[in-house]
Amino acid sequence: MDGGIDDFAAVLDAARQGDDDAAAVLFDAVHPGLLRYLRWHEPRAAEDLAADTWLAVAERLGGFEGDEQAFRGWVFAIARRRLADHRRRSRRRRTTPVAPETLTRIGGGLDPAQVSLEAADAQQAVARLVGVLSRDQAEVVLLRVLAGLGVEEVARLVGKRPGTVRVLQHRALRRLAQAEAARRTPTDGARHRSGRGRRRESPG
Amino acid sequence: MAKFPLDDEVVDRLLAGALAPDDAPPGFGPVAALVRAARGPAAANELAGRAAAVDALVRGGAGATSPVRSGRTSMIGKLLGVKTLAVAVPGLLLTGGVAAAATGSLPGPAQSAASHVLSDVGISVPNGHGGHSGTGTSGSSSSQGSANGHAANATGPDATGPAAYGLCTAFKAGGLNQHSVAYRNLAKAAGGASNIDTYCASVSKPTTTTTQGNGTGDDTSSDVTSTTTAGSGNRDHAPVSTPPTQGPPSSTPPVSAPPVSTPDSGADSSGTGPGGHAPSSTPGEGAH
Repeated sequence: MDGGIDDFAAVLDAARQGDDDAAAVLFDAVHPGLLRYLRWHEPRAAEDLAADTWLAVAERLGGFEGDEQAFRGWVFAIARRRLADHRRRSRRRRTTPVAPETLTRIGGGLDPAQVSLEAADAQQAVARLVGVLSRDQAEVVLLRVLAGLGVEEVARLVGKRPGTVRVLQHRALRRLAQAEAARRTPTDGARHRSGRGRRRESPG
Repeated sequence: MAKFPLDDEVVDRLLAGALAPDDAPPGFGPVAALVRAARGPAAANELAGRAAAVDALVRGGAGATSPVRSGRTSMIGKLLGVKTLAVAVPGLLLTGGVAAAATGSLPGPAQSAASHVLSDVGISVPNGHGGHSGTGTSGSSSSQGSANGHAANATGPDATGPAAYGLCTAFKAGGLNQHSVAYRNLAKAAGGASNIDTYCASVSKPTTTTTQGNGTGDDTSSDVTSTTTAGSGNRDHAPVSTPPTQGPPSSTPPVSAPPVSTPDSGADSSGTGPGGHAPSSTPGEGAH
């Protein structure tokens, strides 16, 4: 997941004309974040949902207009609709009640308290990033971080005002800073490092 | 608890992964590191469907049926418009995908997968590695069970229906094994083997996907080579451990085909997602 796509308009055009390499640029720029986003929300269905999304993108690529931000927003909008559809279907099918304690587990099935401090794996980093956040805060952070979307696009996707999105992201970041600091202090009962007093950053 | 200062610009850079942990405001170094880790390069298991997606993008999605939503499917199978790789035969035949497969023009893993699957019904197409399925060395150790065909796929593709186009394409490309059920069906539909050329001349490419009418629906075999044909295929990849059922890919969900039991399609390693041990709750909704 690098920074943006160079000359997005040209890449889009070439992909539409059948250029495999250009299509790969679009895919490579968006898919890892898309999959990680979906895996957070629905670990077992994520691959299918991502495939559905790309299929829909492929079918409508000819009609798409916009810059890279608009493209990313469009792809994720499709993905979120598929996600919502999937959840509706799953709820209807569920016949056994879900034990209350499972509902408090963090999404992605990963309990942040058990995720290693070094978070080598991107999906683990995602879990640690949003596991301590409220649902609204988490969604904003996920879309900004994994979809590469700006405040305006996120606001459009989640149906909130940009000002609200800014408040959410601020609170989320503060909450995260607190949580990460708590992990590193020896007085934290759940997880602590033997008092070396030295901060170790996760690999960048 | 101290408040950490954050302005919009710093936030934008931090969330974009553009802020190195050492450059972050005090207290935000670890957060910056987590963001970068979350945005790290794609791992191998995150790219399983890449070739199929790229192929779909350049085709404008044409030739793919709507994804079938029942049961688990592999990403590559979904983007090829088939329920699983094992039911790719009817799917490929319907959508003209065998035309692409016959000329070896599918992307790598898809070409290889298509050649494996088509060889089950005696259609030989290039496998993307310079060989053809069905003509490679037989008795590959990765074959699960022998290609002694039990009758699970006895009826073969319906050459009078929409699959005719795909069969004709394979025939013209020289990839239709004359001992196969597929060939026999085509010959029968044409009114004799010598009429195949004439018959195929009248067969046009299906423009919309339609439900294939020949589902026998009774195949419950999990033997990858359960076919009556001679083609044992070149199983140089991990076998697709799913039955070549007749479950037709339909353009309108839901599909009446039997749920496919499978999931671990080695060929494209879609896998079961690393977070797959999550409990059945909807993740994220409980965390407020």
